[in-house]
Amino acid sequence: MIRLMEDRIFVEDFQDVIEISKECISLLFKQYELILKGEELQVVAFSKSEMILYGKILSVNFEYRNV
Amino acid sequence: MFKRYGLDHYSIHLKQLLLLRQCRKSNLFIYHVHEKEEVIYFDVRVKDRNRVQSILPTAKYLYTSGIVGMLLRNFTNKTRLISYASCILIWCILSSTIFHVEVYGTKDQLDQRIVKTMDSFLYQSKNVDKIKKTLLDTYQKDVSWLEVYDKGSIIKIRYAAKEKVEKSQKGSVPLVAKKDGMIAYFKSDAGYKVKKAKDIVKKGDILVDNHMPDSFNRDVSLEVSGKVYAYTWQRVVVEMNANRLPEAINYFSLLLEARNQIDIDLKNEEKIVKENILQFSKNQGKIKLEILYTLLEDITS
Repeated sequence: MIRLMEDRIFVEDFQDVIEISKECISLLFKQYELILKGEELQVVAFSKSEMILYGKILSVNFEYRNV
Repeated sequence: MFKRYGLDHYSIHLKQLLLLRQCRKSNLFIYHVHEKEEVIYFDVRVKDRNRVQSILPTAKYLYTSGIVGMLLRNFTNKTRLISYASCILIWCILSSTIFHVEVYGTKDQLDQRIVKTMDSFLYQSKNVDKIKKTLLDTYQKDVSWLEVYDKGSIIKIRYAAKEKVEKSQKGSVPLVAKKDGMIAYFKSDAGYKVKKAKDIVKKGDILVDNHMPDSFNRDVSLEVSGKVYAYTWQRVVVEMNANRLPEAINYFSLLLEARNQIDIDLKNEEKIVKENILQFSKNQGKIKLEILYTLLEDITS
């Protein structure tokens, strides 16, 4: 689940963090992998299944996995 | 909410991905994760401080921000704690000490006396009840009401002085004429006027009575006070030995002597109204002047 909150991006219900950098954040969900690409991405808050990001998002990709 | 009041700031030499995984695994909330020169900086709630030490033992504590940080910094510093305690102690001592006394009363002299009495309470600890009791005991005769209260280090005293009412000089004796005369006017504020202005009165006549009949013709006692002014007459005879001085000079010297004699007995508001020369004669080596004076005087005294 991903949603925009004013100038922040709210992501929840993820299962794992696969990759994180200023340009790319990849999160694993139950059925897909969410790949956010952008500039100066920064983690504002982080907990077990929630993440708030700040930065410029250039693309959002969903990569579904075969179950 | 915790974020608003303050956060612990940490740095760690670890890959950001590993940090996030570790935090996720331990269910640790972290904030403001950013990387600078291969060092990861992050914030944690103050209440999770102990957990950070066990989950991320290599994390280096930097500082605590916000109100919580300010309080922790101040109340973990011994010298600051001593200065706070000293400040509170001094404030308590000063606020419970009397430094000034203000008196709001109705009599300046009594104000000064009270201030003088209060000198013994200056620079001592406040005890409003004791001050009030002392002042009431000391000024029981002079004060009808007294209030003492404090405002910081100032003691304020308000009082109402006892008003001494002058005892009435009214008597119950009637005003009686002590001389013959014609009443000019009354200066009486109590009593029953028996005579009126322009009445001729003789010595012993009652002028203002202390009894008056009421509507049922019953005798009512009254207080009497005041004066009754009347025109009176007095004959003055002055003499001197004959001399060689001119007659006019002898005449005026006798006239002045006669006036002096009259003036001696005259009081305030009493005066010579008229001066009639009855006789100016020279006989057997004596010069004689006879004058009749009309005076305005109080005939009751």
